[in-house]
Amino acid sequence: MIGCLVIPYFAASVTRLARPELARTPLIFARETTPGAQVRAVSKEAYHQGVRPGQTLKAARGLCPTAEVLPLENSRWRAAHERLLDLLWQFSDRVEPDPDSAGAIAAAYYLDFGTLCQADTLKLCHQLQAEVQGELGLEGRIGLAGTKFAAQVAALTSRESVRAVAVRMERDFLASLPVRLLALDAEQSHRLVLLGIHTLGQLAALPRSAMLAQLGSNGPLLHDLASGIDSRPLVSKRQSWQVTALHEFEPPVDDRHILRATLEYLAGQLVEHLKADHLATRSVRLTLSLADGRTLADLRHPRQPVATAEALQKQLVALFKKQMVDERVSTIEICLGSLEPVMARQLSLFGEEEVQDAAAKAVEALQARHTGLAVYKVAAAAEATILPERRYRLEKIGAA
Amino acid sequence: MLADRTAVLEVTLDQLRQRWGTQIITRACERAPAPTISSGFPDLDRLLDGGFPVGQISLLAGAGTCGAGTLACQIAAHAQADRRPAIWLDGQSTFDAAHAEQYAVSLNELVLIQPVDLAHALALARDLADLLPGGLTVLTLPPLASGDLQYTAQELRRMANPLARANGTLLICGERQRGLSEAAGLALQLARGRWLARSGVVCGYETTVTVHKGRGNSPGRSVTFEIVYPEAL
Repeated sequence: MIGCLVIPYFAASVTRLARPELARTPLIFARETTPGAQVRAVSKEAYHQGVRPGQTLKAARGLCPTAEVLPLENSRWRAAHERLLDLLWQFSDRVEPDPDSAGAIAAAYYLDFGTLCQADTLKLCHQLQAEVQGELGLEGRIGLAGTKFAAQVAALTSRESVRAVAVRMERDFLASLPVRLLALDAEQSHRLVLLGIHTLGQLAALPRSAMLAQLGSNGPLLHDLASGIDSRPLVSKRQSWQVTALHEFEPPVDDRHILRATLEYLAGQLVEHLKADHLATRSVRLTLSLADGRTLADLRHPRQPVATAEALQKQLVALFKKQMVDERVSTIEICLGSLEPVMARQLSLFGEEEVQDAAAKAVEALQARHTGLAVYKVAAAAEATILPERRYRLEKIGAA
Repeated sequence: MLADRTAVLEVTLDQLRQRWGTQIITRACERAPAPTISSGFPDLDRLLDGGFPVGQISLLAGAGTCGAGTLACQIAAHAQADRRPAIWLDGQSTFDAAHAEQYAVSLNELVLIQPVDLAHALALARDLADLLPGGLTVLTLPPLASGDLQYTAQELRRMANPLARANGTLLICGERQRGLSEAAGLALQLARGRWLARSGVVCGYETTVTVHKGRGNSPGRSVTFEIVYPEAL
């Protein structure tokens, strides 16, 4: 069976966890506060006032004058998303976040429970719902069905925390529900109104062959979904081996000593995580959220896997120095990816030498084909000089 | 009906895997993504779905100080970090070791070749397409006369198949993009934007990269990022 966990108003819910004083305030999230800026996410209260993602801020303020406009909190939302995924992977090894939902109104996650019987799956889903609420503080609803679409509709339309649709009964379940549950564009919605089709059952009763002409290229897919058939595979997002650390400054700071000390502290914390799991990282990402809402991010791929605090601090300081920080910093987030087990390695036995061998073989073959070829290696110059270009000299290699 | 089809498919897949090994057949949706080399700029990597495609020719075109050299250094550094051998064909005779090292290129592992002229540079690149499996070749093209364009494009087209077979990557930096982009798998146009200054001192510049051609990348998409001089850090 397929389970679908839906977290309504994901962005607003996550923000309210950190700022409980906003619990009753309608919230609108936009990248900027200019009237022409686009609304990216809304809270339930703002949604009920008619505010939708994609509207301009001016229109949204007209619809909901009491709403508080907040900058996007991508790093906070991403961290919550990662924590949620970590939790979901404890319940199924096949989890797919729905890319279409993306948290603007609701976030949806599909879980494949395989051939587990319905009673056991239901029990597991109740446990999952309780843990999402208990550990993450998020209110979620779960739909269970034989297909992704039916499971999502069950979660979206349910008033209970978990709702199951019996396998092979998806078509009957969907029949009475409105067609707007399908992802229709404006033209398709208009066409269905003109045809007098208001429910999924009415749509499913039409011949599938007519769908292409009436609804365009995805017409047959929409017909299948309305008929309880959903052949879209559950594309499991592999559990990304990554560790993150986040620090928020309240109020934001611009003192580079404080920022650097925080980086070192977070590096120490992350290395403890790595050590506990005997892992090293091959990718270090630093994300700085600035007080004016901008985000600066950069990534480094260390030449050798990093597993010590000193090496990680060096990477982070290099990343930090590279950023043009001209505003106070409100959040620092470090993400270590491409984690791999720490392996004992004899230096220079593998790795660089293999690479150099490959290049040397290629050069040898080239020199055999092109006589007098000028091939060089860059070497440090013997004498010290302040001019950077004189610190190196080219050494001819191989047969000239 | 659908469940029956799926079950039959699963049984067939199992039988094939038992007979020939688990790697013999893969669902299209389970295939590993095509390998790429990171550019070192996260926004550009996102635009390119992970980075510069391995097994293809990528073209960086733009006028001087557009950031192509810096980008090439960053790509070479990331290729080396991925344990790919890197060879720099310095057709413009402008290779700057200090600059390359500042962008984390491992000079110990980099081989520099100075071709005599354009034809020599293209012949070397064509040979390296075969001789450097899994490696990165950076080719900086000298200024091209209009008569050279057709010849260069023709030579590049001849390299496409050997590169794909050997999983090699050819990165070309040149001033002109017109006439060459059709021969490349990925063609990017770079344009320098405003200069960045810190305390009144120029410390870098903004560069806009626009996709002219790329599989899976809509032409016309662009991204702007900052290139900060390492010495200004």
